[in-house]
Amino acid sequence: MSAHHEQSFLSKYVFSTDHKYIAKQYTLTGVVFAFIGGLFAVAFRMQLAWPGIDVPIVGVLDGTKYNMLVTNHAMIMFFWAAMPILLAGLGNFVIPLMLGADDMAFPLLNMLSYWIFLVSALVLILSFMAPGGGAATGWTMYPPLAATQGVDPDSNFLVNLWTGGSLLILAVALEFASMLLGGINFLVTSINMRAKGMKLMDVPAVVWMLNLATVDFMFSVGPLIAGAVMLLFDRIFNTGFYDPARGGDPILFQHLFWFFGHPEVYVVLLPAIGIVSEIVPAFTRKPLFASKWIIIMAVSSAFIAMIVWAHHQFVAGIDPRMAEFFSITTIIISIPFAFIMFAVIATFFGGQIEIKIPMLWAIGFIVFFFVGGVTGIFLGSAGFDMYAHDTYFVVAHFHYTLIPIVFFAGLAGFYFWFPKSTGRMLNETLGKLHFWTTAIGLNMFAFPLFFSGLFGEHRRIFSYASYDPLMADWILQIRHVATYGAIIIAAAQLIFFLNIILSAMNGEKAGKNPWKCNTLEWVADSPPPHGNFTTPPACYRGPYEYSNPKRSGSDFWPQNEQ
Amino acid sequence: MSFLPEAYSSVAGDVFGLFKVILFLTSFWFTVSIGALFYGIFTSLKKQGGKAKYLTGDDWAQSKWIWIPLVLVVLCDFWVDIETAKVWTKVEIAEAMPQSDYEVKIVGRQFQWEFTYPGPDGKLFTEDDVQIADGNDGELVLPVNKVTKLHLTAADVLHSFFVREFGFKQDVIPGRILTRWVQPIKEGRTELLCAEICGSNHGTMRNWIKIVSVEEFDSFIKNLNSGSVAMATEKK
Repeated sequence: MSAHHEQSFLSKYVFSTDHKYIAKQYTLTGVVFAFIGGLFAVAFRMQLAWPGIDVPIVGVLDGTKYNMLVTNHAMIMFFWAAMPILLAGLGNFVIPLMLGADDMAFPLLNMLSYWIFLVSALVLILSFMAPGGGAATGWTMYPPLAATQGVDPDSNFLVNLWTGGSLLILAVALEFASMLLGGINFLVTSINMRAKGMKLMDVPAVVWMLNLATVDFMFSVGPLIAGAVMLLFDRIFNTGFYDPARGGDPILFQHLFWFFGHPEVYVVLLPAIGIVSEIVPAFTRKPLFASKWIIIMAVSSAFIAMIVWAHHQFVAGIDPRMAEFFSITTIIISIPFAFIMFAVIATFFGGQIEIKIPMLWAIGFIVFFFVGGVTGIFLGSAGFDMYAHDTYFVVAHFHYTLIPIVFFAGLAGFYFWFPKSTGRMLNETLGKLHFWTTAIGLNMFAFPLFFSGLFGEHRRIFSYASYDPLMADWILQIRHVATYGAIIIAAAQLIFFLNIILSAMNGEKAGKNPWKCNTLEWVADSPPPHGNFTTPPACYRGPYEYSNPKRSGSDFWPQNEQ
Repeated sequence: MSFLPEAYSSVAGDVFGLFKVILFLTSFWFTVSIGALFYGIFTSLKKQGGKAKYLTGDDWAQSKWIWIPLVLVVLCDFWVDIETAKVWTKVEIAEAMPQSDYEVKIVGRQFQWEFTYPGPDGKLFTEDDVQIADGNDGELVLPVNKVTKLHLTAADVLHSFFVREFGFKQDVIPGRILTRWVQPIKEGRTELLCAEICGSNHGTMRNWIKIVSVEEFDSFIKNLNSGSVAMATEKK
């Protein structure tokens, strides 16, 4: 891989094996799907605020259409937006650069990974065109509903394959295959291709977190694939894995699903914490507080993440004695995350803080994710979950975790590495406007839902007309405010797109190291050429040596400088 | 918290009480943490010629500032765990289930709830059970202050038996009968919801629960068994 010669347009931009372009492909695809998923949400939120409204494009929503939009909103946001952006996009961009490598270990495999991902996205789109439309079973795809919806047991398997539910399972399976290939690259590259002298503890936190996320994904995805294959067989070959009348068990799927589904939360959370762990030291000009312990805590959380899954099933009909075990592991997993958050907050003390745009998003992440974190305790407590499960309290809680993760941490990373990726700075004024509108949108959308959730408003209901107490004036008001919030979040992203277009054309030139950081990606040109570094950098120290008194003349000490 | 519904069952107060304990603890930690964050930010903003402190957090003198709060967090975690276990054991654990003379079988079916009461023999799951299957108007009648055993199951897909005022929810599963219990503490009428997505009309799946005095309940059962209940019932 020594010769990095000139490339044709196709091999540079389309069939690229360059990790930076693959990162851009993943991120761009993810952003497009985030927008689609966001518009789905706006559509069904409009139905909730103004029942019976003729929503642009999708029309008037009935129960089926509403369920379809809700189901696919979640699917898209998780598997076609959060994962490609935070795991594949970010990982592909930063891992080789931060390790001082010229590319991923297996560039061709990397390209394959993206193209399988794109095929999975196309299969997802195809699923909407199947007779009866897309899957409408909730993103958790619980059988027997998901095993039977849209299925005609007397038809042949091709007819049943050509249904929203079956195609969605296929799309998700392809997406997993793509992320597994990408994950192999992450691990092999991080283990074998570190710069000369870079010890494991010199590896930046974000690379650690990306690898831990990958490991969590790899260990948890197998059971889900097994579960999904059985679900697909139930649909297309009329098997009875989940049909109690034929000796099957619907709860089996829930275990397989959540054995994956819970670690999946950490698959996106860990990279988000990684991003913030890079940005906070850079803009406080201080070492990341207790950085070694942050890594140790993250490793332990990745393990504990594998034994908390049944807290999603407290009321699902599992043995109630089991719930007590999972209540305890759930509470235990708050320990490493509490440590990490405390350590990040401690990093602010005694710094020389400059609140540039990436830092603004990082602070936003900490504050809003904390709301999501503490409200998780209510749901982790089996006794209260008995009441709050499947109400809007849950919806509010996980939007306060996932919107900070994907939007706030994700955008912090985007604003932070955009200069490296394109060679130009993003506009600060538009960046601030983008931040504040998104922050207002999030809180208008999600905070009121805690209250209607506490009152017992249950979710996935297309119209509350059947429920008198849930039509009280104050709840109607909450539905309006939440819908306006969702629209504001979506509209705020237009500012972001405008900023990208304007800055990519006319933005201030970034230079190699606009934020004065230590990690190796800032040694390369902006944007880094094919092959990244003119001479492979060596590594002499950890990534967070800011304001070290032994260093005279500057407040940072790049990893590659002796 | 006035946002929580009025308690109609003997355990709803415990469940809602758990909310208050957790709200107290989480509000405290949220305020402390975010307060510390903003204190840190506003006392450490960049000053001309200023120098950041080189604090790595590697020694105890520095790291105690996060280890000590962490230990306190863990103690609070256990507090929550203990309170949770008390409520959970009371409501869910079979050994703690109170004795009862009343029982009813509840079936979730797309998109309504059906209720089956014992027939003249006074026993459930026998030939003469009486079923109330009256679409979304069907009422589950329960005697106030008495413990009633609920035998919960589903006919087709998953549903979830959810009564806001009982502070209670239980998914129901085809092919399995789960036995739980309820002790209403006041007379009245509440909605019975389905809290698990069950198909296109999940959003219309709503029945009623009517809590009546023991005398009224006895005459309700009597009428049910003599077939003179006004609502559509089905002998089975």
